[in-house]
Amino acid sequence: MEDFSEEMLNENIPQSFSLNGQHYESHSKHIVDENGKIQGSVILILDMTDIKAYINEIKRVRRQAEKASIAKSEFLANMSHEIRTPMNAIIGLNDIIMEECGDTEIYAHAKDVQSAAKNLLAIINDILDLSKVEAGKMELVYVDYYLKAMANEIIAIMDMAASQRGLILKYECDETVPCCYNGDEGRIKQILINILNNAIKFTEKGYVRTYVTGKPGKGEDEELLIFHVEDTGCGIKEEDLNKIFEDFRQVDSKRNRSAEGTGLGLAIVKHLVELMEGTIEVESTYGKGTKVTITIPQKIVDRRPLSETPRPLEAEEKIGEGFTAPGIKVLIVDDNVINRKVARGFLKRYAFDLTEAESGPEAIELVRANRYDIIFMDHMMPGMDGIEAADIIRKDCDENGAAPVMVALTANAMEGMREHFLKCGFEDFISKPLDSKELNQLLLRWVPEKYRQKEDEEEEGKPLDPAAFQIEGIDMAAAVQYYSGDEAGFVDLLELYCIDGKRKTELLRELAESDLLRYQIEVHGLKSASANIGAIEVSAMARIQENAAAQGDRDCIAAQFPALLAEYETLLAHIGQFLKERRQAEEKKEKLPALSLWKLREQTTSALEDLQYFRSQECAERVEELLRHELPGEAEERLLQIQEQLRLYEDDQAERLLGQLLGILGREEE
Amino acid sequence: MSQAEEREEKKTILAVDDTAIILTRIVNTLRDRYRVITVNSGMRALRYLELEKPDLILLDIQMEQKDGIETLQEIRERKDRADIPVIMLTGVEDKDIVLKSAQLGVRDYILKPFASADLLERICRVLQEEASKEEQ
Repeated sequence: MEDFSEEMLNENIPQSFSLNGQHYESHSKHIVDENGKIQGSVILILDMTDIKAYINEIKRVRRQAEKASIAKSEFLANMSHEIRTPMNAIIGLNDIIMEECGDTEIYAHAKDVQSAAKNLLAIINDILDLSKVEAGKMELVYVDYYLKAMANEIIAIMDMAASQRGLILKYECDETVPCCYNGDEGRIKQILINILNNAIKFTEKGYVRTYVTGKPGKGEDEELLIFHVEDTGCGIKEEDLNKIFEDFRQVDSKRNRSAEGTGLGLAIVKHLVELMEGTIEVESTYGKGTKVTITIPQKIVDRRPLSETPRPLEAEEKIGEGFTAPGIKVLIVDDNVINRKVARGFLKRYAFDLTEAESGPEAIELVRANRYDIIFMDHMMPGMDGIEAADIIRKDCDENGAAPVMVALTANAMEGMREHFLKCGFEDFISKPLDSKELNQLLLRWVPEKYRQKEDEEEEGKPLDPAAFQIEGIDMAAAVQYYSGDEAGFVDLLELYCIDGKRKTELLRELAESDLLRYQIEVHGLKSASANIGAIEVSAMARIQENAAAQGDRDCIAAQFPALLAEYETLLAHIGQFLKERRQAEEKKEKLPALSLWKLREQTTSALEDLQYFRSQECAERVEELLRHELPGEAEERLLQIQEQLRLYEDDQAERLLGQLLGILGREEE
Repeated sequence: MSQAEEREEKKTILAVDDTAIILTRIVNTLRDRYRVITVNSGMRALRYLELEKPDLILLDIQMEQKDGIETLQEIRERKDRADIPVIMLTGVEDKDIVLKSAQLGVRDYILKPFASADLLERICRVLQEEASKEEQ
């Protein structure tokens, strides 16, 4: 105690000391007389042992909480990567299954996996967004954007979703509001997509209407953009109106059991709108519909009215100079074999190094391994669409993905689609059916001058003579409008149309009654494939069916599908007959002269030897060469069988058949 | 390119699988860089190995008659073929099979369905490892 006595007398400075494991604190106060002289001191000694332990405990808990909070942030940051990576693997591998399974039941399951995985991914993104908003970490990214392009993009995305549910998506835009703004375009899109998604989700029939307008804001260069989204859906009860913006909330959960979702969407929307200093209002009549009004102040960049939105810069156009550029690597991505063939036909004259891919995932793989200069990417493909594939190519394929010029191919030539594609990582856009002049202009824009060579004297095959193709159901005048190539190329097209037809008739029959979405994609393909060969009747009927499928109009499909199928099958039969006759005529003309029996035996022996030495490809080439010659009936039949076995990698079978053929030839020689 | 030249320049890969579509994918993925020999059974693979020694074997596990593990065991029993690097291809993820393949010195293990880029990358890696082994 003596060591402390001095300090203990220091007024107002508490002293801490420990004694026998106990902690104390002393407080002193001087007692002063009227002359200011210290007469004595009051010393208070407190036993702090318990309090100190308590304070330490609080400090410890707080440290833990801080750690946890840091951990939470880190966890969320990591989660996006850790969950998205395997999710992408699941979605990617599932796409491969869908591509390769060739079994409708497995395809259907894989399709379910795909949609479930995408839903899950959307939920994860929602949760991440919400936690970002809550942590105050959501930052707005300001860019200049054109209102019209943004609205068109959103409508294009939502139109698909609406038509899948048989709803009509109406869209109007006040053409007098300024055209260009500065703000967080991505987040505004997110808000509107969320609202529209909800409207579509909760509307059984009728329409969803979007109206965009604006009014002058507070400052001179501020516009209050107003988005109305109105639906004829189930509506919200008055007592529930306040709850819809709460986290994890779905009102009327009994009734809406069918509607999926985390209930996070609107909470995020509200946070985002408030972050932009905007407002969101909901009016609703239960059972009749809901109207959401979102008002967001945006800085005006270009005061010209919406109707005068400048078109994206068009490169100066040189008309029609043909050229070749053999060094340019071009990738064509389209799920439809006929469309690929057509594109190939159009591009042939440029002598590019052409590669084809029949799906987004396949294109991505090719881009990972190869550096292309130009990629033509179809928009509508089953599984992964062109926009998604383009996005992955740009983001995940390193330099190979950054280098190519990407051109969107689309049959939906809606206004504003160009802007839409340009936003999605594409450099350019061309509509189907392809037009050779338009394509040439496009290529002049993107193939650097130094790679272009002046077009040589073209060495073309026999030009297409429409008179030689008298096929019922095919209008050659329509065909030549779109087809630019030689006669052999057109025959190839017809052949493909036929081969594809066998598969497609079966598939259509099956899908018309079950899977409307896939049916829509298939009739869409049929529409453009048929237009390509001039089968305008089938094309027109397919178009009607495509629209019916988009509207979910099963009655119309049921009523008119049989007629389409009948017309299609008749057409296929006509084309088949035409091709058969043509083949027969040509075989007579073009088959190489018959081989001597000795030569035939020699080649067959070599083919067998190839196989015995595991040179399957060489063997297949030899068999193909043999089949070009005039052959005795039995030998030709055997060789065709052998060719088929080789295609199936049944080399043992092929070996056996070759052995038998040798036996037959041997007997004949004797 | 003549066959002899091709053999000079390109390494040879033996692909063993009894599904045509898988063989087609393998051929499409590899043919630019490698000479690919395709066989659709373990027996044919063993017969091929009597004639030539490929630089690498891609071996499917689940095949009718002789499965991948049996085939691999027989390859390992052959003196001058035992050291060929093998990558297993399989549709099932079976612990016992992984263990057994590991005991048999499998170099890598690819789960079907595979991505082409992945296949190419793994083959490249194994062949590079082989090359650096030879240098030492």
